Amino acid sequence: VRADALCLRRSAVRGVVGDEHMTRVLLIDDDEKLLALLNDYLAEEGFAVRIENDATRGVVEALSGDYAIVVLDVMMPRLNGLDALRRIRLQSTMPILMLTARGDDVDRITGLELGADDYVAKPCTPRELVARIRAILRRTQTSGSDAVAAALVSGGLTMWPEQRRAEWAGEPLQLTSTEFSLLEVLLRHVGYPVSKNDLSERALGRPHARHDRSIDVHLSSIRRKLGSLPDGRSLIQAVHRQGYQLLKE
Amino acid sequence: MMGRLFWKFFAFIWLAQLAGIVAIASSFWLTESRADRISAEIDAGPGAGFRVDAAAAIVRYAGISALKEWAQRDPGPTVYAVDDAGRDVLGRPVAPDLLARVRELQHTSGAPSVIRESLGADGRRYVLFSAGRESLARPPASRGPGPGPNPGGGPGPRWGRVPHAAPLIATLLASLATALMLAWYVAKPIRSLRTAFDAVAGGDLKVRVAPVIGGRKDELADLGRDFDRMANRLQASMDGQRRLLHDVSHEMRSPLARLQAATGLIRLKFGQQEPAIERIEEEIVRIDRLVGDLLKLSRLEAGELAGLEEEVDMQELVREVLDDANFEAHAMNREVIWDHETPGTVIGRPEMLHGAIENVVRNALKHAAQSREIHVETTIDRGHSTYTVRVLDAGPGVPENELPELFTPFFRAVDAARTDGYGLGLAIARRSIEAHRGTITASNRLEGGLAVTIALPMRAIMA
Repeated sequence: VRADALCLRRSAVRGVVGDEHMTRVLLIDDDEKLLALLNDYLAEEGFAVRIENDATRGVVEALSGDYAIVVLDVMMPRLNGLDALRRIRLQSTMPILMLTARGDDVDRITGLELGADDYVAKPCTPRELVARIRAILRRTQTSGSDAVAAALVSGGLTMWPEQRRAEWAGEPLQLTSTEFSLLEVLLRHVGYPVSKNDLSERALGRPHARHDRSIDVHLSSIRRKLGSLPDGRSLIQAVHRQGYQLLKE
Repeated sequence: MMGRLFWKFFAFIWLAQLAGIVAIASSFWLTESRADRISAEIDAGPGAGFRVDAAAAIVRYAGISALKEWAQRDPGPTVYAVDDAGRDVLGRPVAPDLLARVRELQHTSGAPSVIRESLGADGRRYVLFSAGRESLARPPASRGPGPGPNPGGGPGPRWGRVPHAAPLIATLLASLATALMLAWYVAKPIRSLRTAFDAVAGGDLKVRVAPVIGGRKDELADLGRDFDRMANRLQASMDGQRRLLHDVSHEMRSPLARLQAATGLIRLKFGQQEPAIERIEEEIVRIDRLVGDLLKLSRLEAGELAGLEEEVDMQELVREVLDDANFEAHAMNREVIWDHETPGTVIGRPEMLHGAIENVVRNALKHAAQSREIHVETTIDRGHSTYTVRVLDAGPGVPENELPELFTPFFRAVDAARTDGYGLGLAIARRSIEAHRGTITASNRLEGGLAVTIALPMRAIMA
């Protein structure tokens, strides 16, 4: 937990200084030729890239805390990409973007359940990849430009968006960056349902695709972390055809 | 439940046994009844011989009067003593045909010992024989009611038959049991083979019959083992094909991903709107779509299903599909029209159902004649058990003999060569619909064009 908190603080710090320094991206994939091309592309786009074609080394590198985001291919042989994801998540809530095979829902859903922030289906255009990376980073690096350290509060839930910090019933909540953003959107609209499309636009930075279960998977993970209310209900309710709602206490 | 074959086998075997029983029983009955007939005329039993001998001795040594006295006192079967004129000494009536038979037998070389000729004390010749049962007791009807004394010989006919019923029932039961066993013995392995064949035909190649056959050794068991060998080979080849398709598709994606990264890099570095690059990007997307469809099909055929099962609002789903399709259709100056929206719920995987209906609608759009409308009809049958979606186009239709081929991969109707696509859409649609226990069929419309009908089973609405 301490390592986690450290990690969070470091990335928060980097967020503030990130304007001068290049954002560091860790690419983990077993296709070296593709890595070389993506390396060039991301470098052109202004990222500092580290490529790693071995998942085990990739996990160690990811946990070093030097990177703002990990792009992880979950279809790697040897150390399974999903395993790598699990290992990183054991110690860090850092942003993870996973690459999945197009049409492979099982990997995608499993990856999201294991805490990946979002996914890109492979093959994808590098432009798409960069857009996804930027969308995730934008959320995590919403720096405190407006210096008001306002806390959002509803019942036992308190969130400090500027610090990417959340508490539930006095205990710190460990949320991935996507989970944090989703909960933040719900909290800002507490007592009202928010459509899946709004949630997707605001938290994932992309429109909701039909039959995409990403939002549901992320929200069920948040529900698990929040536990249930004394009356057995969950704090987050699905509202038929309208989306999700954070209950007002 | 036993199958039809079992009952046929059972019926044949049992009938055969019954026929055998009837044949044997009737031959017994025939011989017995012949003996019956003889004894009805001339008592041929061992007692009769003894009695006839005794009577002959009485006639010879004591005379006719002594015989008369003996015959009247004796309770046993009647012994007749007939003189040359054919009259019985006691005046009892003797049927002429019986007498004729006695005389005939008397003169044959092997005369039965139950007929004796004796010279009486009075010097007349007498033929002595014992006649039992009915012959004399009941004179032929033509003679009228003659004074026939009941000879009362032997037990009555009814008493002789009853004890035969028990062995008869036992025989029937035994034959029933053996027929059942035999039929079961033959029909059972055939039955398990049939179930196995059914499973294989249904796509389940994992089924084997060896465990059912066990150590049995005969042609049926061999057939079972042959089936297993066939299933093994089929499974190996299907698995191989599936793996090949999957691997090839998968392996094609890596170079595609590199190609995409490379063209992206070229665009980024040189920043120009080069039409050739655009062409490359378009083709990459095309190939990627094909690979995606191939993978989807191979997954469907392997029984891997996409998405999660849930309650699907068909009205909403069809509306989504049509909204998307119309977006494209309008660009082509066509329109998809849904005549009557039908609310209904199906349990299924929305992504697969969406894809299936979308593929059918797209197919209709592709083949519809220019600036015509595509009509979609939805209905629910009276029993609320099936949700039907019909997609009707006014295109050229498909030749009748090619209709069944429409849903096989890579099929394209002869005149459809110009249209864009790989012929995978309808194959994927069929697999997806069949995975939902539904059916998809195509037919030519009377007014021209093709009608594709998707029927999906609905779950009974819970109270």
